[in-house]
Amino acid sequence: MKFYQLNTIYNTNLLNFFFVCITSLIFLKKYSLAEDLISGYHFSEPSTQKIQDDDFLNPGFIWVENGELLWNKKEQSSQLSCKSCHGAASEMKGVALKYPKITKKGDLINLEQQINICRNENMSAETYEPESKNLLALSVLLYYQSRGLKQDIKINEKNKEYFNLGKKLYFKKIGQMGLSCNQCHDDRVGQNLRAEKVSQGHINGFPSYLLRWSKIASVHKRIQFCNEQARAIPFKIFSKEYNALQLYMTWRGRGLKIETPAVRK
Amino acid sequence: MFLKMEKLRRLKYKKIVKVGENVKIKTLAEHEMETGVRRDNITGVIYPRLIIQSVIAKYNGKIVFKANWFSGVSANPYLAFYITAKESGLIEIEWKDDHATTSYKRGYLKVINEKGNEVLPVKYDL
Repeated sequence: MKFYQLNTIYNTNLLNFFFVCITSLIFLKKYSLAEDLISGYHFSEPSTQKIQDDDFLNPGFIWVENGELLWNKKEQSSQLSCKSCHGAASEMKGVALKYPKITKKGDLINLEQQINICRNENMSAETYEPESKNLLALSVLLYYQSRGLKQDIKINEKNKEYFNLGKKLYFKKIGQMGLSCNQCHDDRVGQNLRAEKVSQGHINGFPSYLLRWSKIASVHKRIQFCNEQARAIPFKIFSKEYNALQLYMTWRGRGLKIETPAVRK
Repeated sequence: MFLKMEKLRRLKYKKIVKVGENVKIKTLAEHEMETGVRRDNITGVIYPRLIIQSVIAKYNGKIVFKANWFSGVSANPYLAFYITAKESGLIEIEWKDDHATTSYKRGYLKVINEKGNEVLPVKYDL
Protein backbone atom coordinates (compact mmCIF):
# COMPACT_ATOMS: atom_id res chain seq x y z
CA MET A 1 0.00 0.00 0.00
CA LYS A 2 2.80 2.38 0.94
CA PHE A 3 4.65 1.56 -2.18
CA TYR A 4 1.56 2.25 -4.27
CA GLN A 5 1.09 5.72 -2.68
CA LEU A 6 4.68 6.66 -3.29
CA ASN A 7 4.37 5.63 -6.87
CA THR A 8 1.33 7.87 -7.46
CA ILE A 9 3.07 10.90 -5.97
CA TYR A 10 6.02 10.29 -8.21
CA ASN A 11 3.72 10.03 -11.25
CA THR A 12 1.92 13.31 -10.61
CA ASN A 13 5.23 15.08 -10.12
CA LEU A 14 6.47 13.71 -13.41
CA LEU A 15 3.28 14.83 -15.16
CA ASN A 16 3.66 18.30 -13.66
CA PHE A 17 7.23 18.45 -14.80
CA PHE A 18 6.25 17.58 -18.39
CA PHE A 19 3.39 20.07 -18.32
CA VAL A 20 5.73 22.88 -17.24
CA CYS A 21 8.24 21.86 -19.89
CA ILE A 22 5.68 21.88 -22.71
CA THR A 23 4.06 25.17 -21.70
CA SER A 24 7.43 26.87 -21.38
CA LEU A 25 8.40 25.55 -24.81
CA ILE A 26 5.20 26.93 -26.34
CA PHE A 27 5.78 30.23 -24.54
CA LEU A 28 9.35 30.43 -25.79
CA LYS A 29 8.29 29.54 -29.33
CA LYS A 30 5.62 32.22 -29.34
CA TYR A 31 7.79 35.04 -28.10
CA SER A 32 10.99 34.18 -29.90
CA LEU A 33 9.14 34.13 -33.22
CA ALA A 34 10.32 37.59 -34.14
CA GLU A 35 13.95 36.60 -33.65
CA ASP A 36 13.95 33.64 -36.04
CA LEU A 37 13.85 34.44 -39.71
CA ILE A 38 10.63 33.25 -41.33
CA SER A 39 9.98 33.75 -45.01
CA GLY A 40 6.72 35.32 -46.16
CA TYR A 41 5.91 31.97 -47.78
CA HIS A 42 4.95 30.49 -44.40
CA PHE A 43 2.50 33.30 -43.62
CA SER A 44 0.52 32.92 -46.85
CA GLU A 45 -2.44 30.60 -47.29
CA PRO A 46 -1.99 26.96 -48.41
CA SER A 47 -3.70 27.69 -51.73
CA THR A 48 -1.18 30.47 -52.40
CA GLN A 49 1.72 28.25 -51.37
CA LYS A 50 0.50 25.64 -53.85
CA ILE A 51 0.78 28.12 -56.73
CA GLN A 52 4.34 28.97 -55.77
CA ASP A 53 5.42 25.34 -55.45
CA ASP A 54 4.44 24.43 -59.01
CA ASP A 55 6.59 26.16 -61.62
CA PHE A 56 3.97 25.58 -64.30
CA LEU A 57 1.15 27.10 -62.26
CA ASN A 58 3.20 30.07 -61.11
CA PRO A 59 2.36 33.05 -63.37
CA GLY A 60 5.64 34.71 -62.42
CA PHE A 61 7.38 32.40 -64.87
CA ILE A 62 5.72 34.27 -67.73
CA TRP A 63 7.98 37.17 -66.76
CA VAL A 64 11.01 34.87 -66.55
CA GLU A 65 10.44 33.53 -70.04
CA ASN A 66 9.79 36.97 -71.50
CA GLY A 67 12.92 38.21 -69.74
CA GLU A 68 14.92 35.49 -71.46
CA LEU A 69 13.65 36.71 -74.84
CA LEU A 70 14.66 40.29 -73.97
CA TRP A 71 18.08 39.11 -72.77
CA ASN A 72 18.88 37.68 -76.21
CA LYS A 73 17.26 40.47 -78.24
CA LYS A 74 19.69 42.74 -80.11
CA GLU A 75 19.13 46.50 -80.01
CA GLN A 76 19.02 48.18 -83.41
CA SER A 77 21.12 51.19 -82.43
CA SER A 78 24.20 49.31 -81.27
CA GLN A 79 23.60 45.71 -82.47
CA LEU A 80 24.27 44.59 -78.91
CA SER A 81 22.22 42.45 -76.57
CA CYS A 82 22.72 41.68 -72.89
CA LYS A 83 24.00 38.26 -73.98
CA SER A 84 26.85 39.68 -76.08
CA CYS A 85 28.59 41.09 -72.99
CA HIS A 86 27.39 38.93 -70.09
CA GLY A 87 26.91 35.56 -71.80
CA ALA A 88 23.92 33.35 -71.14
CA ALA A 89 21.50 34.36 -68.40
CA SER A 90 22.35 31.25 -66.37
CA GLU A 91 25.88 32.60 -65.85
CA MET A 92 24.49 35.50 -63.80
CA LYS A 93 24.05 33.27 -60.75
CA GLY A 94 24.57 35.19 -57.52
CA VAL A 95 24.82 38.60 -59.18
CA ALA A 96 21.48 39.83 -57.82
CA LEU A 97 22.61 39.19 -54.24
CA LYS A 98 25.09 42.09 -54.39
CA TYR A 99 22.37 44.71 -54.87
CA PRO A 100 21.62 47.44 -53.70
CA LYS A 101 25.14 48.49 -54.54
CA ILE A 102 27.30 51.61 -54.34
CA THR A 103 28.39 53.09 -57.68
CA LYS A 104 31.70 54.80 -58.40
CA LYS A 105 30.02 58.16 -57.86
CA GLY A 106 28.91 57.08 -54.40
CA ASP A 107 25.17 56.67 -55.02
CA LEU A 108 23.20 53.65 -53.92
CA ILE A 109 21.39 51.89 -56.77
CA ASN A 110 19.36 48.71 -57.08
CA LEU A 111 19.32 46.11 -59.83
CA GLU A 112 16.61 47.77 -61.92
CA GLN A 113 18.51 51.06 -62.00
CA GLN A 114 21.66 49.15 -63.00
CA ILE A 115 19.79 47.61 -65.96
CA ASN A 116 18.74 51.09 -67.10
CA ILE A 117 22.29 52.46 -66.68
CA CYS A 118 23.67 49.52 -68.67
CA ARG A 119 21.15 50.12 -71.45
CA ASN A 120 21.82 53.85 -71.58
CA GLU A 121 25.63 53.83 -71.46
CA ASN A 122 26.69 50.59 -73.10
CA MET A 123 23.87 49.71 -75.47
CA SER A 124 22.83 53.31 -76.33
CA ALA A 125 19.19 52.27 -76.10
CA GLU A 126 16.27 53.98 -74.44
CA THR A 127 15.79 53.33 -70.73
CA TYR A 128 12.73 51.53 -69.42
CA GLU A 129 10.23 53.30 -67.23
CA PRO A 130 10.01 52.25 -63.58
CA GLU A 131 7.47 49.41 -63.01
CA SER A 132 7.29 48.73 -66.74
CA LYS A 133 6.88 45.11 -67.82
CA ASN A 134 10.16 44.91 -69.71
CA LEU A 135 12.22 46.18 -66.78
CA LEU A 136 10.57 43.82 -64.33
CA ALA A 137 10.97 40.88 -66.72
CA LEU A 138 14.75 41.40 -66.80
CA SER A 139 14.88 41.99 -63.06
CA VAL A 140 12.91 38.81 -62.31
CA LEU A 141 15.13 36.83 -64.70
CA LEU A 142 18.27 37.94 -62.85
CA TYR A 143 16.86 37.29 -59.38
CA TYR A 144 15.56 33.91 -60.56
CA GLN A 145 19.12 32.80 -61.42
CA SER A 146 20.10 33.02 -57.76
CA ARG A 147 17.01 31.22 -56.47
CA GLY A 148 17.92 28.99 -53.53
CA LEU A 149 21.01 31.01 -52.58
CA LYS A 150 21.07 32.81 -49.26
CA GLN A 151 20.70 36.55 -48.94
CA ASP A 152 24.09 37.84 -47.89
CA ILE A 153 24.90 41.53 -48.05
CA LYS A 154 27.89 43.07 -46.32
CA ILE A 155 27.88 46.43 -44.58
CA ASN A 156 31.16 48.29 -44.99
CA GLU A 157 32.32 51.87 -44.73
CA LYS A 158 31.04 52.75 -48.19
CA ASN A 159 27.39 51.91 -47.66
CA LYS A 160 27.22 52.46 -43.91
CA GLU A 161 25.77 55.94 -44.36
CA TYR A 162 22.87 54.57 -46.40
CA PHE A 163 22.46 51.64 -44.04
CA ASN A 164 21.99 54.02 -41.10
CA LEU A 165 19.45 56.02 -43.10
CA GLY A 166 17.51 52.86 -43.89
CA LYS A 167 17.56 51.76 -40.27
CA LYS A 168 16.31 55.19 -39.21
CA LEU A 169 13.45 55.01 -41.73
CA TYR A 170 12.53 51.52 -40.56
CA PHE A 171 11.97 52.72 -36.99
CA LYS A 172 10.47 56.11 -37.91
CA LYS A 173 6.77 56.70 -37.25
CA ILE A 174 5.01 58.03 -40.34
CA GLY A 175 1.61 58.98 -41.68
CA GLN A 176 -1.75 59.76 -40.17
CA MET A 177 -1.72 56.47 -38.31
CA GLY A 178 1.69 57.12 -36.78
CA LEU A 179 2.98 53.67 -37.64
CA SER A 180 6.54 52.51 -38.08
CA CYS A 181 7.65 49.36 -39.89
CA ASN A 182 8.84 47.59 -36.74
CA GLN A 183 5.51 47.94 -34.93
CA CYS A 184 3.93 45.40 -37.27
CA HIS A 185 6.81 43.39 -38.70
CA ASP A 186 8.74 42.91 -35.44
CA ASP A 187 6.25 43.25 -32.58
CA ARG A 188 3.03 41.84 -34.05
CA VAL A 189 4.29 38.98 -36.20
CA GLY A 190 1.73 36.24 -36.79
CA GLN A 191 -1.25 38.28 -35.62
CA ASN A 192 -4.24 39.02 -37.81
CA LEU A 193 -4.46 42.23 -39.79
CA ARG A 194 -7.98 41.99 -41.15
CA ALA A 195 -7.92 38.86 -43.31
CA GLU A 196 -4.16 38.59 -43.49
CA LYS A 197 -1.39 37.38 -41.24
CA VAL A 198 1.30 39.93 -40.46
CA SER A 199 4.57 38.66 -41.91
CA GLN A 200 8.09 39.59 -40.90
CA GLY A 201 8.39 41.81 -43.95
CA HIS A 202 11.31 40.07 -45.63
CA ILE A 203 11.97 40.78 -49.28
CA ASN A 204 13.54 37.47 -50.27
CA GLY A 205 10.71 36.71 -52.71
CA PHE A 206 10.74 40.02 -54.54
CA PRO A 207 10.09 40.93 -57.32
CA SER A 208 7.12 38.65 -56.71
CA TYR A 209 3.74 37.96 -58.30
CA LEU A 210 1.01 39.69 -56.27
CA LEU A 211 -2.43 38.13 -56.64
CA ARG A 212 -4.18 41.41 -55.78
CA TRP A 213 -2.77 43.18 -58.85
CA SER A 214 -2.26 40.01 -60.90
CA LYS A 215 1.20 41.13 -61.95
CA ILE A 216 4.79 41.28 -60.78
CA ALA A 217 5.60 44.06 -58.33
CA SER A 218 9.04 45.34 -57.35
CA VAL A 219 10.19 46.00 -53.78
CA HIS A 220 9.76 49.75 -54.12
CA LYS A 221 6.20 49.42 -55.40
CA ARG A 222 5.31 47.13 -52.50
CA ILE A 223 6.77 49.55 -49.93
CA GLN A 224 4.82 52.38 -51.59
CA PHE A 225 1.64 50.33 -51.12
CA CYS A 226 2.58 49.66 -47.49
CA ASN A 227 3.06 53.40 -46.92
CA GLU A 228 -0.32 54.19 -48.44
CA GLN A 229 -1.94 51.77 -45.97
CA ALA A 230 -0.42 53.79 -43.10
CA ARG A 231 -1.78 56.95 -44.77
CA ALA A 232 1.65 58.38 -45.40
CA ILE A 233 2.92 60.12 -48.52
CA PRO A 234 5.14 57.57 -50.26
CA PHE A 235 8.55 58.36 -51.74
CA LYS A 236 9.19 57.95 -55.44
CA ILE A 237 10.36 54.68 -56.94
CA PHE A 238 14.20 54.55 -57.19
CA SER A 239 14.46 57.32 -54.61
CA LYS A 240 17.43 57.46 -52.24
CA GLU A 241 15.23 56.65 -49.23
CA TYR A 242 13.74 53.48 -50.70
CA ASN A 243 17.13 52.21 -51.82
CA ALA A 244 18.44 52.74 -48.29
CA LEU A 245 15.42 50.94 -46.87
CA GLN A 246 15.93 48.08 -49.31
CA LEU A 247 19.55 47.82 -48.20
CA TYR A 248 18.52 47.61 -44.55
CA MET A 249 15.81 45.03 -45.31
CA THR A 250 18.15 42.75 -47.27
CA TRP A 251 20.61 42.96 -44.38
CA ARG A 252 17.80 42.19 -41.94
CA GLY A 253 16.84 39.04 -43.85
CA ARG A 254 20.40 37.76 -44.36
CA GLY A 255 20.44 33.98 -44.34
CA LEU A 256 17.03 33.62 -46.00
CA LYS A 257 16.85 31.89 -49.35
CA ILE A 258 15.81 33.79 -52.49
CA GLU A 259 12.38 32.62 -53.75
CA THR A 260 11.87 34.82 -56.82
CA PRO A 261 9.34 34.64 -58.51
CA ALA A 262 7.36 34.13 -55.32
CA VAL A 263 3.56 34.37 -55.13
CA ARG A 264 2.05 36.61 -52.47
CA LYS A 265 -1.41 37.88 -51.74
CA MET B 1 4.49 47.61 -76.19
CA PHE B 2 5.71 44.73 -74.03
CA LEU B 3 6.83 42.41 -76.79
CA LYS B 4 5.78 42.45 -80.40
CA MET B 5 5.65 38.68 -80.65
CA GLU B 6 2.70 36.52 -79.64
CA LYS B 7 1.71 36.21 -76.04
CA LEU B 8 2.80 33.20 -74.14
CA ARG B 9 0.73 29.99 -74.18
CA ARG B 10 1.68 26.88 -72.28
CA LEU B 11 0.70 23.22 -72.55
CA LYS B 12 2.02 20.38 -70.43
CA TYR B 13 1.12 16.71 -69.96
CA LYS B 14 2.74 13.30 -69.57
CA LYS B 15 4.19 12.51 -72.99
CA ILE B 16 4.08 8.68 -72.97
CA VAL B 17 1.09 6.95 -71.34
CA LYS B 18 -0.56 3.51 -71.27
CA VAL B 19 -3.94 2.65 -72.82
CA GLY B 20 -6.87 3.62 -70.59
CA GLU B 21 -4.80 5.93 -68.40
CA ASN B 22 -6.25 9.26 -67.32
CA VAL B 23 -3.99 12.05 -68.53
CA LYS B 24 -3.98 15.42 -66.80
CA ILE B 25 -3.58 18.23 -69.32
CA LYS B 26 -2.45 21.56 -67.94
CA THR B 27 -2.70 24.85 -69.81
CA LEU B 28 -1.76 28.42 -69.01
CA ALA B 29 -2.40 31.54 -71.08
CA GLU B 30 -0.84 34.94 -70.64
CA HIS B 31 -3.71 37.41 -70.76
CA GLU B 32 -4.75 40.58 -68.96
CA MET B 33 -8.47 39.59 -68.80
CA GLU B 34 -9.73 43.18 -68.65
CA THR B 35 -13.18 42.97 -67.04
CA GLY B 36 -14.72 46.13 -68.54
CA VAL B 37 -15.43 47.62 -65.14
CA ARG B 38 -12.13 49.26 -64.20
CA ARG B 39 -11.53 52.97 -64.72
CA ASP B 40 -8.36 54.87 -65.46
CA ASN B 41 -7.24 56.67 -62.30
CA ILE B 42 -6.53 60.03 -63.94
CA THR B 43 -8.95 60.37 -66.85
CA GLY B 44 -11.83 58.23 -65.55
CA VAL B 45 -12.27 56.44 -68.84
CA ILE B 46 -13.50 52.84 -68.61
CA TYR B 47 -11.13 50.28 -70.09
CA PRO B 48 -13.04 48.22 -72.69
CA ARG B 49 -13.64 44.57 -71.93
CA LEU B 50 -11.08 42.16 -73.33
CA ILE B 51 -11.18 38.58 -72.10
CA ILE B 52 -10.68 35.07 -73.40
CA GLN B 53 -14.17 33.91 -74.31
CA SER B 54 -13.70 30.22 -74.89
CA VAL B 55 -11.14 27.46 -74.69
CA ILE B 56 -11.51 24.42 -76.91
CA ALA B 57 -9.49 21.23 -76.56
CA LYS B 58 -9.28 18.68 -79.36
CA TYR B 59 -7.94 15.14 -79.25
CA ASN B 60 -7.33 13.72 -82.71
CA GLY B 61 -9.66 16.29 -84.23
CA LYS B 62 -12.58 15.62 -81.90
CA ILE B 63 -13.61 18.16 -79.27
CA VAL B 64 -13.06 16.62 -75.83
CA PHE B 65 -13.33 19.73 -73.66
CA LYS B 66 -14.84 23.18 -74.02
CA ALA B 67 -15.12 26.07 -71.58
CA ASN B 68 -16.97 29.37 -71.92
CA TRP B 69 -15.46 32.09 -69.77
CA PHE B 70 -16.87 35.36 -68.50
CA SER B 71 -15.42 38.43 -66.81
CA GLY B 72 -14.92 36.75 -63.42
CA VAL B 73 -11.91 34.70 -64.52
CA SER B 74 -8.57 35.92 -63.19
CA ALA B 75 -5.66 37.23 -65.21
CA ASN B 76 -3.20 34.69 -66.64
CA PRO B 77 -5.78 31.88 -66.36
CA TYR B 78 -4.72 28.31 -65.60
CA LEU B 79 -6.89 25.42 -66.74
CA ALA B 80 -6.48 21.69 -66.17
CA PHE B 81 -8.64 18.76 -67.23
CA TYR B 82 -8.43 14.98 -67.71
CA ILE B 83 -8.82 12.87 -70.81
CA THR B 84 -8.70 9.09 -71.22
CA ALA B 85 -5.95 7.91 -73.52
CA LYS B 86 -7.13 5.52 -76.22
CA GLU B 87 -4.71 5.98 -79.10
CA SER B 88 -1.76 8.21 -79.84
CA GLY B 89 -2.50 11.45 -81.56
CA LEU B 90 -2.55 15.21 -81.59
CA ILE B 91 -3.72 17.37 -78.69
CA GLU B 92 -4.70 20.90 -79.70
CA ILE B 93 -5.80 23.75 -77.47
CA GLU B 94 -7.43 26.87 -78.89
CA TRP B 95 -7.95 30.14 -77.01
CA LYS B 96 -10.49 32.58 -78.46
CA ASP B 97 -10.43 36.29 -77.63
CA ASP B 98 -13.11 39.01 -77.53
CA HIS B 99 -11.64 40.34 -80.79
CA ALA B 100 -12.09 36.81 -82.22
CA THR B 101 -8.33 36.42 -82.43
CA THR B 102 -7.30 32.86 -81.76
CA SER B 103 -4.09 31.30 -80.56
CA TYR B 104 -3.11 27.67 -80.64
CA LYS B 105 -0.84 25.27 -78.88
CA ARG B 106 -0.42 21.65 -79.88
CA GLY B 107 1.48 18.57 -78.90
CA TYR B 108 1.77 14.84 -79.59
CA LEU B 109 0.58 12.20 -77.13
CA LYS B 110 2.14 8.75 -77.39
CA VAL B 111 0.02 5.85 -76.16
CA ILE B 112 1.49 2.36 -75.67
CA ASN B 113 -0.23 -0.96 -74.95
CA GLU B 114 0.85 -3.69 -72.52
CA LYS B 115 3.41 -5.12 -74.93
CA GLY B 116 5.07 -1.74 -75.33
CA ASN B 117 3.92 -1.08 -78.88
CA GLU B 118 2.41 2.21 -79.90
CA VAL B 119 -1.35 2.31 -80.49
CA LEU B 120 -1.82 4.24 -83.72
CA PRO B 121 -5.12 5.93 -84.63
CA VAL B 122 -4.99 4.41 -88.17
CA LYS B 123 -5.11 0.64 -88.43
CA TYR B 124 -3.16 -1.13 -91.15
CA ASP B 125 -2.48 -4.72 -92.20
CA LEU B 126 0.60 -5.98 -93.92
